[in-house]
Amino acid sequence: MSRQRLPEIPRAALRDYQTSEQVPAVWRRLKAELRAQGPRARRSTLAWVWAPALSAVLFGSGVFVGARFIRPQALPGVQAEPPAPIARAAGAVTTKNNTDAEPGSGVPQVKASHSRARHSVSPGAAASEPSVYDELEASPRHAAAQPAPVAEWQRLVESGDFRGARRALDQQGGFDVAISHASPSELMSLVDIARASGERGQAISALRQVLAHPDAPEAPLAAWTLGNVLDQAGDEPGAAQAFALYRRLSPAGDFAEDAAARQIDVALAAGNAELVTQLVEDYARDFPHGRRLGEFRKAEKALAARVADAGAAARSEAVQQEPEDEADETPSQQSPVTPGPAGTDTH
Amino acid sequence: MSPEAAPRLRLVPGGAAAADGSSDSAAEDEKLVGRARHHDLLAFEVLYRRHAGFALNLAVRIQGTAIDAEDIVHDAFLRANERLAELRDGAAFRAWLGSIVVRLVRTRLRRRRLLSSLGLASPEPIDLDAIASPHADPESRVLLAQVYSLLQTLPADDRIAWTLRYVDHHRLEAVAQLVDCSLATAKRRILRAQRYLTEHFVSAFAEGGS
Repeated sequence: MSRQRLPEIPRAALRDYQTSEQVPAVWRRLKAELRAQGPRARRSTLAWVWAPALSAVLFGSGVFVGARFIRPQALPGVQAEPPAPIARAAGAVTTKNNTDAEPGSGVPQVKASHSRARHSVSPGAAASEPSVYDELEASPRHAAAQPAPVAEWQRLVESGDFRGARRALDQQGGFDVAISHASPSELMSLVDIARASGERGQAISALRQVLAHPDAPEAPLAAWTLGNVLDQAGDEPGAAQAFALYRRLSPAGDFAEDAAARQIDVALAAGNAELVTQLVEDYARDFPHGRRLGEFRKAEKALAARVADAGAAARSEAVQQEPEDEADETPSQQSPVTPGPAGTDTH
Repeated sequence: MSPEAAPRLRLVPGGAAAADGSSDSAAEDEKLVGRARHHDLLAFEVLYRRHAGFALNLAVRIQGTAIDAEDIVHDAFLRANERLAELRDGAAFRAWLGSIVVRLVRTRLRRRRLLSSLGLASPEPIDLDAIASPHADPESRVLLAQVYSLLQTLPADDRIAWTLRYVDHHRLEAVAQLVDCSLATAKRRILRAQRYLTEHFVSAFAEGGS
């Protein structure tokens, strides 16, 4: 080794991602977001000025309206509900005017469990709170106002807000709970969420869950995506299996040629000459004008030659090694000075 | 238009970009950008198909790894779509997109280095398979491995400038525009990196060695 002028890096030595399968994969994500955002997403530099200003004005308005017009009675609607036994013990009366009940007629334990906002309520209101809660529990309007827990993250995914969807998902029991009862279509949305938040393991789990429904229309895409994700994770055999599955599920699919090529890439990397030969034959049969057919033919020949050379080298090494091995095994039968045929006593 | 703003909108595609980015291609880009500005998703998709490979190449080659490269390209196109109105010369879309990718990669490299220095993250290993072609000869692979391991120790700005010049083969003017600095600064960064690499580079094949 020696120090010398830095050689030029040849362009041919660099991997080219022009035809990489990552290109369509990124577009799929991008397209969903662009569709969700629509024309409004185009921002100008003015957005940086007016958006904070608008936020500040809205916040100020909210504070003003809240301080000026919202009456304390409205607050319990957003408070955590007190323990039911306490409310029942208070002998709740479900009337709208129960906040006008006499001071001191309420239950002290209930008051102690309330939040800071509750303490700003007048003594009269605090005294009658159990009745207010009972009214809220009984009110169908209140029940209808609760958002559907599953729909939230799905809605956010459809709008392209993957981070928001992730937060909503975490608040609604987490990813594992969601995939346990999701449909294949919902599972693909969960895959997008997992990939957007960098959770490769969760994406793989969800994709495998989709593949448990091989008849689902999402199954081929799930197999293809799983292949890519496993490949990125360094699990090349797993990726090859996923690509093979994609080909079985969708022999004439958009990615069928790419899937076949990826299988060959993996087999080439593993140096499995027999498998390469078989896969290249399949590729040539299914895609006679395949983009990488010539490249694979060359690689197949080169690999076969390498394997043949390695085999020949191993055989010649074994032949040279054989007498030494025998000599090691039968040291007492041969002279160290004049080695003769095995079993010949030269003394 | 201020004199400083003009060159930003007329980037000079060089090297690899010029190889497949002819004047016809630039004219086509201009038309597509015009349509995409009017919210034509199909036009934007065509722009994406034409330049996604270039953006991926850029991200992987500067980083020395494919980790997060997809996300960087995704974010770059999203940002490009949001700010198409700011691009006055649609023919320069490719180079403009490249500057967005470079900015995103630089931010990531700096964040990563900061986290590493605080002990909150380990340095990312060089992924030779992501950089080198599967058909690259062993000498080229060794060269790339050594160059990238040396580049890792350089400041992000020097590393990016040198990579754009000598790995992605951009012209000096294009490098300056891509990294958003003056030509003199770009030259200084490239020279600094070049000196360091020349000083520390050891050829594995110079003496017929193994």
